[in-house]
Amino acid sequence: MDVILKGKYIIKCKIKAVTGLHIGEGNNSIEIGGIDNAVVKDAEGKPYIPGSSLKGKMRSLMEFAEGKVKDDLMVVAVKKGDKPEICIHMCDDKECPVCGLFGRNHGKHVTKKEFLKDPKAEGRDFSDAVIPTRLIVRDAKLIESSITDEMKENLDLEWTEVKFENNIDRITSKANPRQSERVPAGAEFSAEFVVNRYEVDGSDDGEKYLSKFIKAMKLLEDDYLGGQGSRGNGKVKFVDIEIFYKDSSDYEKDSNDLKPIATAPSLDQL
Amino acid sequence: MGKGKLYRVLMHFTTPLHIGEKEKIYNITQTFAHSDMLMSGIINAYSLLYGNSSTNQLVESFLQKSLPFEISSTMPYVGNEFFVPKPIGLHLHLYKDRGIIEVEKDKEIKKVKFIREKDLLSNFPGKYRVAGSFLQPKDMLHKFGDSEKAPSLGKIKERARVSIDRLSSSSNIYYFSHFEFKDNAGLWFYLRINDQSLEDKVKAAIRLLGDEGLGGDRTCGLGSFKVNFEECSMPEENDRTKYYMSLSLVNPQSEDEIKSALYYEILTRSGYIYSKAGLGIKRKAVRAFAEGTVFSGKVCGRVVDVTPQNFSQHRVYCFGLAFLVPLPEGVMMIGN
Repeated sequence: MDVILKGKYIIKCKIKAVTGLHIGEGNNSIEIGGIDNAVVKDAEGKPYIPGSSLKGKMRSLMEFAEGKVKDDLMVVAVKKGDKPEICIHMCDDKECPVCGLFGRNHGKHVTKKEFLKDPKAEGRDFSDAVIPTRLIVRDAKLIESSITDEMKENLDLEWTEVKFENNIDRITSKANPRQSERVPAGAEFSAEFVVNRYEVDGSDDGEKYLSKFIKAMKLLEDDYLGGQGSRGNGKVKFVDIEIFYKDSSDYEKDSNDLKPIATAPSLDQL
Repeated sequence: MGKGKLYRVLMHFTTPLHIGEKEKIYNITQTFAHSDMLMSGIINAYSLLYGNSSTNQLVESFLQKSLPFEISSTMPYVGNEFFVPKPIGLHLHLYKDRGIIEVEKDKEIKKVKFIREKDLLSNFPGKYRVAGSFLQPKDMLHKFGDSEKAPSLGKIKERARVSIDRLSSSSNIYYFSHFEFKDNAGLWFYLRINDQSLEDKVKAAIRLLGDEGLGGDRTCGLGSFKVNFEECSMPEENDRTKYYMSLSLVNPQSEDEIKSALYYEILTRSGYIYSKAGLGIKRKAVRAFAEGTVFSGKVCGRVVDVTPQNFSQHRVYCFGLAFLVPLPEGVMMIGN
């Protein structure tokens, strides 16, 4: 297989937390609805959005949107005894928009359907379809000025708020309170995404994967990021979007003067 | 050692970096990439830009020992100070006895891992002290604006990663550690270009590698860096040069080369293949002399074929060519 890089689409934008954002640090538990959670922070103690959270969420949403969440299209990623514990979509279809954009894993995979039939199934090797992953998602760093002095007055911690939550026993009314740390609504993060444009065995990707990626961004806006999203957390909006195209020949030059090929204040206007 | 144009390549990391499980990042020495890994990254980037056939040509010229370019391993820099690994066998206690190095406790000397390049190449003019794993001039502490103790490169952080089942939303958590460089610190390596016609292409590949990333978890935003090429020169060697130190991994090509290693450390290099044709297949393990190995003469090293059995798409090589610097006259080695 011959894969040549034609160029890179670099999408720079801000991610705005429309509601409080909670991405767990995972010291205790990271399960959705987990308790007493801190949020992830970088080495300077500032909260950020890990690239893996963004990428994982977008992949998951794309799988639903592209109709890939079916027993025969999902592979078992983690198994617990005879049960398929974690299943995600992965396939060897070279045209698959999800795998093409977000990447495939190497090695052998068992589909959920096969696994339910026979937990000892060997699985298939997808190697023929594996090429370098097109999408790179960088960590989104907090824009410090987005948390204003006025906001800071009302925050419990330097950059974040502490939200109290409660479980109440339906009969005895016994309370079981817990705390959860959140990045306050209004915080902004600077994000960068890269979509590689490849020429695989002579056929050029063109803008196919870029438009699929924009679809994934739109899906994310209407979903949530991080934990406790069904209870208000994690609504995000992409603002001040700039898309650059860096041709592979640009790498032979010293300077990096790129002009955006598209700009928009929000996704709807792109 | 070729006679081409020499560059100091500065890698300024814009995102955290994760380098393999075997180099679990617990301290500074394990935060840098060895020359074989760096070379494999450059070749992969080259192949993305220029396709299979011209990459095969490039690899072939390495195998024929007509080196189009040479690289060293990556080493740390802080501010404008460039560090190299301590030559194995450098007799620091002797330097202490002569009043060149000041320490409170003798065992501090054992911790020295990195020395400023210009100090080493001019055989320590001045007074020095040990700061963590660095050996540096006595009056240099303020330069890094750090605490009293030692210049620091950055911090190790652990990130929690989770995979979630699409239907039941049950989660599986795992941890990934990474290294976050401070703004004024990063890694650098030597690049010597012997074939001028390839200069632009090699530089392009390194710039692309910066965008693609080095190390693990690249598609989730780790390991990308900005590059800066600084032209530089290396001290001329002369007839009295007794020792050569390697700044890269060296896989000796003959028995003579093995015998010329005076002070050495041996590393086992293993890992997985990363290429368009194969991912996650284990390559054969090889041993190599580590950075800092001191040779009594010039060695060349070799590129080793580590293609695993039953893997036929392409050959897999481990880069083990030497990048040597001559140590200055009068450098004091153990037992000499």
